[in-house]
Amino acid sequence: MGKMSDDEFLYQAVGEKIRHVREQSRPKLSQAQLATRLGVSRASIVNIEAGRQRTPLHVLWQIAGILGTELSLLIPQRDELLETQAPIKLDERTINQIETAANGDPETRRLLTGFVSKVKARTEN
Amino acid sequence: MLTFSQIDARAEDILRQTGMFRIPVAVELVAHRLTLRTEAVPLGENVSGLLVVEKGHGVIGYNETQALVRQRFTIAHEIGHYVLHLSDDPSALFIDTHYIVYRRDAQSSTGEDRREREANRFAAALLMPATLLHTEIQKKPLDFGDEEMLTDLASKFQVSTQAMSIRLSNLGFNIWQEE
Repeated sequence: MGKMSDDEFLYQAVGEKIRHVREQSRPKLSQAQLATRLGVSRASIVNIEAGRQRTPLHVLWQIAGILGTELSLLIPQRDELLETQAPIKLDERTINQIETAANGDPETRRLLTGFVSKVKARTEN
Repeated sequence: MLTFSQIDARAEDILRQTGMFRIPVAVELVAHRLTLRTEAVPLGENVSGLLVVEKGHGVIGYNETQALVRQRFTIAHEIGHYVLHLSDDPSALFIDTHYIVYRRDAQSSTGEDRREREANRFAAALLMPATLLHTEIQKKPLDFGDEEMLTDLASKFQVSTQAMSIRLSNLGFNIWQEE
């Protein structure tokens, strides 16, 4: 697997956030509608959301405005970019809380363990 | 132990502090201004959200598959845990499941249940501040239908009609009985 540069991770994360905010907007804005409002092609939006385009600051600023959010919400924090493949060992109290919440459902247990581990792993860095 | 009016006051303070005292409350930005990160995550069918606090850093995970109004309420609920329930322990975990409400009878006296009720009250107060709600209600024409009124208010505050209805009755706004 080719190693992605930090820049690529950054633009990908920004793209994901734009897509997420756009999909949550009400009424939901399509890629085409966002493109029109921004005065670019829909392909540009596809590329921005995929992180394939190095979107300039002023364009990100405009996108945030159109989506009715703040630019800061479209930019990941530093440790969000850290890939945390290494599993972290959870303490007993946390494991018990997850067990109680999962109530015997393995999928819920897996999702909760994944998220909590990820958050805890970040603060280790 | 907090009274509901203390919780309401705390929520309004937070909105004013963060410059978010207007509707619909930008709940995600409130979280960010309190230095809480928010993330939409897959959490399955039974969990709405959770708050993980590790060494003082708080992250709210909310269920990405639920309706937008539900996501907003979840974020507000987790902010409630953060504001009301953090002890001196720099690490904490709150998991917000659906079925906890059905266990109310068995749990009504436990601290956990009390915290959940407080976080729910906080969430309602954060998204539907009493003063702003009152202002909106006053704007309505008298012949406005009940159902329509509820739907309209819920959409202005971006909450579910159920949440709005509970909030109105908790605050004693008897819009249904008024002439």
